[in-house]
Amino acid sequence: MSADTGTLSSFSLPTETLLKVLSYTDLNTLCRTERVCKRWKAIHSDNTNRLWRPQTCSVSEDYRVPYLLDGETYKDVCRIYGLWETFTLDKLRWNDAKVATITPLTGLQNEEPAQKLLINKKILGVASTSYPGRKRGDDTGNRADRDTTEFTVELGHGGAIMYGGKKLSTFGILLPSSLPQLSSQHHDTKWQLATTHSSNLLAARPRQTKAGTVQIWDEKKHLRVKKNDTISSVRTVKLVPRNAILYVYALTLVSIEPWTTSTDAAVRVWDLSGTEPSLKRPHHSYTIEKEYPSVLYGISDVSIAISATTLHTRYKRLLIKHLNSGINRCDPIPFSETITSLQFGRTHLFVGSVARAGNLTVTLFSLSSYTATNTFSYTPASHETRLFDRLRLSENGMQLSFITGQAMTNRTLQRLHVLDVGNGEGHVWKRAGG
Amino acid sequence: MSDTLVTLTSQEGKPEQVPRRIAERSTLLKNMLEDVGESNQPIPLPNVSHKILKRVLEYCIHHKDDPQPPSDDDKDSFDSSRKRSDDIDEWDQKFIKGKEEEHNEELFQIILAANYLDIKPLLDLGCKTVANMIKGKSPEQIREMFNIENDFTPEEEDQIRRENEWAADA
Repeated sequence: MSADTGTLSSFSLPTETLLKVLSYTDLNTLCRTERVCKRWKAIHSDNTNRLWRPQTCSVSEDYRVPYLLDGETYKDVCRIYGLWETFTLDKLRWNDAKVATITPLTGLQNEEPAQKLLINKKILGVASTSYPGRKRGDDTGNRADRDTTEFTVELGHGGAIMYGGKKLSTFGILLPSSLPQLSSQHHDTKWQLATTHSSNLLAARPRQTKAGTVQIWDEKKHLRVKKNDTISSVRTVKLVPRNAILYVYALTLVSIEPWTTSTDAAVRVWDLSGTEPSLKRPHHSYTIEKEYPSVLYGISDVSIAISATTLHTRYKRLLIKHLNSGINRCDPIPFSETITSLQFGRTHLFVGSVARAGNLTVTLFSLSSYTATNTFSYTPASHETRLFDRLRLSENGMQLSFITGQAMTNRTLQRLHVLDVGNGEGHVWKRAGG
Repeated sequence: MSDTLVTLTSQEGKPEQVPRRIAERSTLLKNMLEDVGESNQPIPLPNVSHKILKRVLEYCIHHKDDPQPPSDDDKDSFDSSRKRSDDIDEWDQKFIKGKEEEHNEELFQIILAANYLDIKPLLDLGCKTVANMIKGKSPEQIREMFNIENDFTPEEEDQIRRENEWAADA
């Protein structure tokens, strides 16, 4: 203590008293106080939950203390929720190729944070549902519907936020190397996103139209657009044969070629190099069996995976079709299982499924032997929903991500889990995130 | 019984007489007085200077009719509710401000005395005031205010900064 200089010496303050002081600070100040000195840092480390639990209450939507997952602290939860109001567009930061914090889309700053995604305990993305003219906590009881907002993210390639709902649907693309976010509003439209690791293309199609329209983003173009540019600056192509009206129900990108599957049970590969997209012929159109109408698809350059249910028997199968030699494998799927995601890796096909009991399973199929070589099971905690979607393999093939949901009081908090899958040949998978 | 006078002896050995009900605003003194029963023996307060003792008693006299605060033993009450620091009433603000030139020094000593004497509302007042002082301040400014040496290496400090990057302005 230095009475002559009029300063305080916190070193004489008992730890309990200093904790009390810190308990009266706000979230940002609390963060900053960790950097004051080693003693303060140690007090933070020894009392993380005590210090951060009250902050959790203040940032949660319903002012309740949320559940903690294994290994999670209240500080982590604060990081999940964040202070939505303080996020601004210019704070979109990519710490490396795979981790970013994402801000509300342009024009949606006042909306509710409906869903947030995590990777390695950092906020990867935040999606918001728009209810124009209504503010959080209004007395109408109007809350974001947990089913109306979707978020799709590609590791290392930004992501797309899709907003659906009765009032408004918004679509946004977020890219790691370009700060501008493109957004557009479409009423009652859901989107499917496709990206490729080997090019700068992102593609998306409206899920609920039969027009076959696909919008293509080129990352290089993004670098030239300004903050508030709209989706109209992006190339829109119609990927349907001339004079045909087909419902394109699946889209993926292989290198720079969009592949589509349509209601005529054909897989088509498109050439975008000309002024108009054209169908690549003669080798790039494949007909898949019409008796399997429920196609959840996955496409690599040599194989197509199909999750199918026959119309009459509702018998479910997983088909893996080699493009040059027909169906190589046709596995029945137990009735209690529902395949939700398919993802091709270089050597393996990853199949995500949900059992009726709620267990989530990822099964690896070797693309050389076409046999199941490994499985990973995830049992959601009692407070987690069975949401299990958007299986994604990272660019290096070493990490697999999927999403589960945690049911909160009036919303679902989504978590992006990341599995370290190695080269797919390991016997023990490590749960690396979430 | 509550009108009887109690003699408190400060660090310097100077006595200060106060009505018992004023002294009992301090949980420490209340317990001591209950333990010793009727006694004229002065109570030594070796950790509190006479100047600060008078300031503390000034606070106790002003708040003599306040209801006793709830016990802080219940940790949940600390843990689960977000605490506000902007609910200090006008008299308390003036009291804790004290003389401008001695503000920090006196505030610090009042906090220590309130902690020692176990006067929760006064401790809360002091802690809220310090919290308000450090709100929005950078680590450098907090160090200066508290006369703390930065014992982090630049790398260590940078590491903590990165860990907290998710918080705006952290």
